[in-house]
Amino acid sequence: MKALTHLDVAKRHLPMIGRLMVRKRYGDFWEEETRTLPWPFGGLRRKYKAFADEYIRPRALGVDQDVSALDKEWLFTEYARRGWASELLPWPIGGMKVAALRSYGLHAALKMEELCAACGGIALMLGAHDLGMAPLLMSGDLKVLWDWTIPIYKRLNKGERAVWAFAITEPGAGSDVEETEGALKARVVTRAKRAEGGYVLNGRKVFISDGGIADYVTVFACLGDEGVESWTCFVVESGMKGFTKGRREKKMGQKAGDATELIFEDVFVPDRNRVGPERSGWALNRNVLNFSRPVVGAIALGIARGAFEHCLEFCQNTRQGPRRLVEYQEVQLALAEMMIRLMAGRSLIWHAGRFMPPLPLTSAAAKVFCSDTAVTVCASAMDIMGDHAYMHGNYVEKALRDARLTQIYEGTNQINRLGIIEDMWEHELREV
Amino acid sequence: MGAEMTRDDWAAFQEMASGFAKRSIRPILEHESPDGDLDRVPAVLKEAHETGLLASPDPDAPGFETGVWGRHALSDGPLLSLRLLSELAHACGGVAMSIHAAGLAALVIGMAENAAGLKAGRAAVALSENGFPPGFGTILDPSRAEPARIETVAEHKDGWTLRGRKDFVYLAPETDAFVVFAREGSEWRAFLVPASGEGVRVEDAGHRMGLRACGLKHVILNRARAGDDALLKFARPAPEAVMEYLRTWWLGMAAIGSGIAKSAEEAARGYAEERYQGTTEIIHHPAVNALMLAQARARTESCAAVTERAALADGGARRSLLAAAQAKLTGLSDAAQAVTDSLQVFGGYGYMEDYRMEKRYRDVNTLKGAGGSARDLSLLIARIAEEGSR
Repeated sequence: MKALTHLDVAKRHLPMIGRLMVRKRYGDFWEEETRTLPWPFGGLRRKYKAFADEYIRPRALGVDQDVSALDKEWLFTEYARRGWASELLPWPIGGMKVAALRSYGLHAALKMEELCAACGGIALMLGAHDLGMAPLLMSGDLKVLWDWTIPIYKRLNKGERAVWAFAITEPGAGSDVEETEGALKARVVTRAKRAEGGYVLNGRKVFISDGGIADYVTVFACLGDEGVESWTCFVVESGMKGFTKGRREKKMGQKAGDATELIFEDVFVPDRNRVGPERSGWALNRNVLNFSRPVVGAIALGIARGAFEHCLEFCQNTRQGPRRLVEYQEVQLALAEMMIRLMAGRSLIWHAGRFMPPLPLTSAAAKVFCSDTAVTVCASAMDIMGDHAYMHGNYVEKALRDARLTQIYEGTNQINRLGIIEDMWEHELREV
Repeated sequence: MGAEMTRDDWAAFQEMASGFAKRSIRPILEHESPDGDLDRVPAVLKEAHETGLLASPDPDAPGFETGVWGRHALSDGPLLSLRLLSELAHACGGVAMSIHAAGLAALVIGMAENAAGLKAGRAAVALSENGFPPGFGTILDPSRAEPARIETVAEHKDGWTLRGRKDFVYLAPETDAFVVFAREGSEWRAFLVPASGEGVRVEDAGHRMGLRACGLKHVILNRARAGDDALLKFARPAPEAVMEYLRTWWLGMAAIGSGIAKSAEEAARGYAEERYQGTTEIIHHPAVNALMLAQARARTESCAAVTERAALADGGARRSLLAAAQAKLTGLSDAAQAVTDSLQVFGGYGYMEDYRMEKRYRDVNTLKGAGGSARDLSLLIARIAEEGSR
């Protein structure tokens, strides 16, 4: 039985209604937060956490050192057979609960925070699949839904393999193509030329998450000699003639999730594989990014939470002189500061999730704030732990490396900040 | 020797260090692994020894006088060694750390009155316990419980017997002795203990974030035996020797951070001048030039300035230690921010191993925690400041 707190004793002096207003603590803040979520998100959050604890957490450090130690096929199947690889649509097509449709952004964010609290890299490997499939849904094209999404989701729900990746970044056009002004000037080289019955694709994409393991890739290409305003999205299938996978990048962190170069040399893509109408790619890309940016914020938040949890455990178990670290006031202040930042980040992500469809402004804000916060929280954890901080076995250095990527992908934080300005004041700025 | 060194001598030494970094250290990084070809590090340090950059306690060694933390530092102060470390770190923070660690051990041995009678080839200093450097109270009295007393104990009976454990000892390859700080009752003592001596066990610290070109070990002393002559006899009070060691250790790390930050900023500037967005090089974008690159440069200069200012601090061991702690705390924070801003200029490429920006990021963040994290330094600064205000 737990000892009484000061408040438990003091509240006896209050009248009954006053006593009822004293908030009872369950002792587990994560659970208390979860209870505030509307149905069915609370239950989902618990399931994601249980999965992360059982399947991801025990493998995180080993995989960071040796990626080949992870059986990706097996893990993805475990993930998919729970219906989580088809959660962009509700039952009976996908694994999403119907009530979760009220915010698919929040849904995805809850999942990624939990998975990333265990390992940012493994979570990226699992979550990038949703990003790859997102253009199918966000095109709003019912033919695409019928031809692609439904059959693929059926296969996934049966436990069959069908991993997707999303490909926009090119060697000479990274964050440029994630912001309007930059995109207009970007040196985009992947092009689709009209051919009988379809298109011929040529070009190159880089840093593609899950590119190395994907069976299908949603690829954005310019039409003919036109600029990025002609962007059109195509499904390129693994095994198509002329489609090869190039180098797998050597990254500082999030190592379990591959970043691979994709090469297109006269790849014939039939009309059936076009996602939405011609020239719909730019708007589609923006739709996808508005959905995915809060999710990247959640990835960052999860990574930072993992660092915080490991740091807290370290402080509870490590003595310095007569006391445990957690008993020193300056350590308590630093831990509290980390918690405040995590709560602020989570609040912003959940706030962004209230906008349906997602608002570019809040999506970008959630991504920027949480990724910057994540790096700050990881660095704060390292500041407490002394020389132990940079040792791999203590986790937080991995978290710092993992978190650093979230300030870069899905548009650098600088590009996202400019995106906020564009979303707020585009007309006024043009008038000026 | 020190009194005879002129500004021209300093410039020549800096040029030599810069040339050595380009000619001998940089090729290590041509290897594709994340930290370069670490198998080449011993050969590079051998070359550093032969060229006189690597200090040694051996009076016949080329770097005895002039190496990083050679005897010139006892008369001329730390400034030249700091500049040399910064030049070396421009190529690789880990190699610079190796040279710093070995040189500093030579300096501590050189501070002893009985240094001439001691035999050591390459040494490393073992002070920290449980991953934390001693706090100010413990420096004054190693048996003091707050924040944590020194648990490595020396007993004198038919020679010296040492018991305890020293953690996170940075060392160069082929280190054959440790300068072990221990306590005898409530007094500090320092011993030169052979790495292969009776009762001495050396364990690898394990996989870590950065500075991997420098060794990192735990030293376990299980009734380790040392002769009477192993005791280092300092002219100054032993706590001051500990302070002098920590001061120099921290200043050196701040200088290494400054070198890493400088190389990161230069690499980012070079990249920004070549990388196009549309028809314009990205260096012409205000977000790149006026924000990230300009701030990286300012922070790099700030790190170098605070380090050099701390190196010139006088007013006794405590004030010098205070200045060094402040330099490591703020200087490395600036250096780390400069490196992360520079990395950001590269976008996704900065996160990949190819451009070595991620290595600089790992190295500088390791430096921040090594031998005294922000918390340790803040506590120490607070305690010394508190003493000063009394």
